[in-house]
Amino acid sequence: MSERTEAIEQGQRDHHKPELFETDTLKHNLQTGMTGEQEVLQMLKGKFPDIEDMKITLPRRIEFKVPAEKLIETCNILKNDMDYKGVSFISGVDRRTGFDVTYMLFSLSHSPVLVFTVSLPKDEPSIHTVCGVWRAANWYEREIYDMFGINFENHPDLRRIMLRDDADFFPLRKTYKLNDKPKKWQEECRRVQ
Amino acid sequence: MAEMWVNMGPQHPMTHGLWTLKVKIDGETITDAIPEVGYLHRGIEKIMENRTFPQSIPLADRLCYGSAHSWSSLYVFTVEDLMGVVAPERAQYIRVITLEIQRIINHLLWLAAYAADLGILTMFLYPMRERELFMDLMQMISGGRLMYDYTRIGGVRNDTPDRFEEETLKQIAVLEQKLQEYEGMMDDNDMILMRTMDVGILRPDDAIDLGVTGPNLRASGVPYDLRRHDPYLVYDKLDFAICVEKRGDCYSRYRVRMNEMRESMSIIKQALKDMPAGPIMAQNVPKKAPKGSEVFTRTADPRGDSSIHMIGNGTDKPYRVDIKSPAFINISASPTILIGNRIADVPSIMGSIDVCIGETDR
Repeated sequence: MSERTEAIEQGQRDHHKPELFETDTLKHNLQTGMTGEQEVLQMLKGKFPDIEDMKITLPRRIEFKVPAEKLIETCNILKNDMDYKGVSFISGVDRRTGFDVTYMLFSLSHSPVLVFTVSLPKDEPSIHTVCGVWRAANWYEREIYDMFGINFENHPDLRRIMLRDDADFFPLRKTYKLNDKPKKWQEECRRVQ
Repeated sequence: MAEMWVNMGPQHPMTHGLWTLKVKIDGETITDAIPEVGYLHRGIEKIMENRTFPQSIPLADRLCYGSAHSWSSLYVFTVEDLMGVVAPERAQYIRVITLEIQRIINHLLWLAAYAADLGILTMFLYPMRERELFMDLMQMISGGRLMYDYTRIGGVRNDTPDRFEEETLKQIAVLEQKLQEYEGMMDDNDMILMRTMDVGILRPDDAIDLGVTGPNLRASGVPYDLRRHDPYLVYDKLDFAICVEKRGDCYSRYRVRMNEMRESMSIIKQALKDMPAGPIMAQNVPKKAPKGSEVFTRTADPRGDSSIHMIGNGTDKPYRVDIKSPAFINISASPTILIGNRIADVPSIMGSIDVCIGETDR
């Protein structure tokens, strides 16, 4: 066994000691007190005075829009100052006039869910990755790249996830119709038959 | 010894479906892992965009063979949020009962498959036998045994049949007794303990950062349950505990699911007792979603938090449906759990995560 492997095994043993689970961060997370939407909305307005259209849409949902260049800054503030430790999902939408990327965050101590949207142009949509903030973003962003062709800058592993690596189309774009069959693959099927 | 890559899957007893896990090993120790999914991609989101709202309910059932009802329910809840429909109270209680029966069915299937992964084939048959009892209950109420197609936009398809309450209480009494039997077979088995205790540990801060939810998150000591933290249906009126374990290993994940079955049975009993009489369908359910409406709905699936993001554009078809599956993100977290463990423990670890490829690939 190489030295590196021994180090990894030792690291796993030390890193994963069960008593470590009683750390202060965890105890902090164990507080499940409900905070109301209005309180969180006030806190958000204090942190982000530039964002205007922040509103409560449904019970426990707060929605707002973020400009693309301020995405990472916003995410870091939400994670480090406001206890939104996890990303629940990232979703893409083709609006025909452009693309939207929507982030949904959950918190273990506040109950309202934050939903914020970043709008991107129609041609060559590109946005900075948030993998550095939440590791959960990795596969969500790969999926959006696969389905919509939105480029995520500085993503560690931006590959197709559902479709084959040689696919040259983006199926969830509105320009792709349900019965469209890619020409390249049709020829392949014909050869097999 | 030189490091090398080993392909586990797409056809491997560990995978429980079609997906590949590439692991890099040095001797016996895993130093890196890459999961690959996508073999079962059917484009369900695109198909849903081209069908009317009620047409997609059976399709949502097909997202997962283990817990079909929880997916069609989530789809229906999203459409109800989009249209502003509220189901009558009796329908909400019936939904809670069927969802909890579905949770028990899913966990029993998981227990059977996990025991077979670990090598006790006797234990494979026992939970499958009791799962039949609960599938019989679902058959009584919906007519289906695996795909139920039971919820409707604005309520449920039919009321509970005669003798449903009686039968349910009878089967619950059977399972309560049998759970002790399972625990005797699992917890008194040294082989099981050796293969699960302190194997595949997931730290709570890692779990939150990687987006892991559901029983896997609670096994790492984080008491987060959507039924309590973002309540839907009538869960805020029911009394149940959030099942938490401290160790974060495979054994904790098994314990959490066993305890969850007990809590589910308690929820079913309370719901049967409190269920009011009344209509089971809302009046005047619209066919079209309002223009510009957009909702994000989450439920606590047996495997974790599932969510749908849906946009309406004034027609009878959704403009965009985005389904987020808990199994998808739990698989993406697998390298962090696997690195540092032995390759022989891969089936034990991946089995304990409870993977379903139907909902992962959509």
